[in-house]
Amino acid sequence: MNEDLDELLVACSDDMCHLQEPIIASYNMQSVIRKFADNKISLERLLPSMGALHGDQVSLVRGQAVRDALVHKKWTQMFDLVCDVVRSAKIQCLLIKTLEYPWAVLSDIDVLPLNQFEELRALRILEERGFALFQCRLLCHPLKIMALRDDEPAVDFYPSPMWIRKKVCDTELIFCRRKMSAVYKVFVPSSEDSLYLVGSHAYNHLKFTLAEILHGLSVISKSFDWEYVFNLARNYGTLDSIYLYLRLLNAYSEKFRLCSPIDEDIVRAYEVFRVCKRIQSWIDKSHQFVRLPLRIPGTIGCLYSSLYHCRTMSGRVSIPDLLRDFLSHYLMLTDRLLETT
Amino acid sequence: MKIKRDKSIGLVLCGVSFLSLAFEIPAIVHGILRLSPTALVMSAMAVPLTFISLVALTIGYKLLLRPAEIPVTYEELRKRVVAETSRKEKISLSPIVIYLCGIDGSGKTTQVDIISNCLANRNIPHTIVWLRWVALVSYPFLALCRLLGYTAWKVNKNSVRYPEHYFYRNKAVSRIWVLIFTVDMLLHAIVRVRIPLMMKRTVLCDRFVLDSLVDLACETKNKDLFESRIGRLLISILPRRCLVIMLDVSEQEAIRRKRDIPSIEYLEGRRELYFNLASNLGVPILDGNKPSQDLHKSIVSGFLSHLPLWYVPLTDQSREGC
Repeated sequence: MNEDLDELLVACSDDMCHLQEPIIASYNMQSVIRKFADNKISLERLLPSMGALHGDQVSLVRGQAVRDALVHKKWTQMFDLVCDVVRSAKIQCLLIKTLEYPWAVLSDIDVLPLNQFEELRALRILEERGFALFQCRLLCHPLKIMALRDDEPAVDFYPSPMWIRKKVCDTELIFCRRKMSAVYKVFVPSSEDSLYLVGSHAYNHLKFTLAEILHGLSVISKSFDWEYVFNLARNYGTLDSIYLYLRLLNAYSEKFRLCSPIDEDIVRAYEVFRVCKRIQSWIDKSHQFVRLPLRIPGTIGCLYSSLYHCRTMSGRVSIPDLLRDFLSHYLMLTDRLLETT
Repeated sequence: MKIKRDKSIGLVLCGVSFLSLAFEIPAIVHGILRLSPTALVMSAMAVPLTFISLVALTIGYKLLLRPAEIPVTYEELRKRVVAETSRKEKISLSPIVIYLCGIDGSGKTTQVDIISNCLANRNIPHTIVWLRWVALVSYPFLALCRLLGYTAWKVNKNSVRYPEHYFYRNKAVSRIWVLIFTVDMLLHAIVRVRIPLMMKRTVLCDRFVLDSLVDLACETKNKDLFESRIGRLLISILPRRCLVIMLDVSEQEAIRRKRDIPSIEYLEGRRELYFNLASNLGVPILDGNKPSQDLHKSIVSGFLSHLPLWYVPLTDQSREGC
């Protein structure tokens, strides 16, 4: 049943998949709605296939689709506002983790300022516009700030590309390769950085959703610099996350698009490392690798990942930073615990 | 609903960590007071568990008593940034380690002496350390190696005696040597570099961990030592505020300058390793073939003039000298 739900989700969401239009009358609509929400896909995508439904089911799906549309609309409005602030005040920042898939339901906008002064400038403008500023209670960087206004999507400011306290890259490096978004006229990370940031972030949350998979597939192009991504992951101790993301992208494409976008040699380069071998053996053992969303076991995402990351970064960062890196992995586990209880 | 969940998890975490701390702390205290090997081992085992318990206690406390999102004002953030900036400025004015590395005869000691004079002329407190031979806890091991024939004294062409190590002949010996040497280096680095730094003294290092790494790589014939865990650990001994400069000189010039160099092959092997290390770590390389005053000018213009300490005014007597 789960696999059927995955197929329904993919058939509705991915325009490039080979699946037939689904007959949705046979599904439990509550499960379908949960599936779409878990994968950050708007239920609006289900509306064209709803001909066979009637009564309560239709109103249930329509109600959720309207809510998703509203969330998406609010997100777009907030995104426009942030772009406007950035452009008008000439704030040097990048909008990161923005998924390229247009039907993704995103709950926040992530901003990476060039330095703390740029962040302060942006925060001041937002505060003047009625935003309240918050910070998280656990292990968070003192300058990782969330700007919130009423029930609108949050605007998150990152002092550097770090997920909780696990630093995955240097801000300057991403700024060097930034590109201008043709639509919004603001700077966004290059395709390689975008794939890297989204992949490492999803892995850190121990979950890959369909929206993230479709984002990954949409940023890959012929001129994609795989060597850069590999070196970045190797230098910052995130090979495991990128390896798993690439394997997932390939497995998804092979299953649903009947093609393989990433050359096997590229993926094989990662398999030299022990942590990637462990992931490989987990993939080989798992009955069904492509699950939507793909939940990463705690042993891989926390235990092995923390040991590998800290081993790689030891001697490169200070001991307190290393300790925070280490603890970040386990905070994610707590987060999952909170989510599941 | 989520708030309730947070609180209950926080409560559980606090309770469990309190209970475990109640067992662990007495175990550690007992081990320290008894000073018996078993009790010490028990207390050593309890230390990481105590750390985990403390972390769990902190998380539990925060989950229990703090809201998920803590409100913060712009003014508070501004103060944080100002504090961070002033901390960085303070660091930039604090003393640093100036470390010259390179093969024998490259002019490190001469340059360290010149820099030392310049610092003295500015009344900047500083210490010169030479950290190539750092044996301390490794003496018993070296004595054993001597008996087993892994070390020997030799005489070069100029009739100067020099020690030679053959640790590479035995894998176990070479591994133990690297480990013990690292412990020694760590101890020396704390006593001779870290403590003077803490006492606000600038430290001039004539050889330090990178030179030791090259020596170890040669003695154990392990060119991948830099990439190994122990190699990285050695490199991490370098303090954060450390200016590393490599002086390079041709083997012929080095032999001409120093009489105690064993052979030209000895230098060739080491020079190659120095180059590898410098390119891996991004250490700048200066041409040591130049006359010492010219080399000093390059060091000043390229590196020392970027340091705040270089702008401390000269004392009246020394204006002409430096």
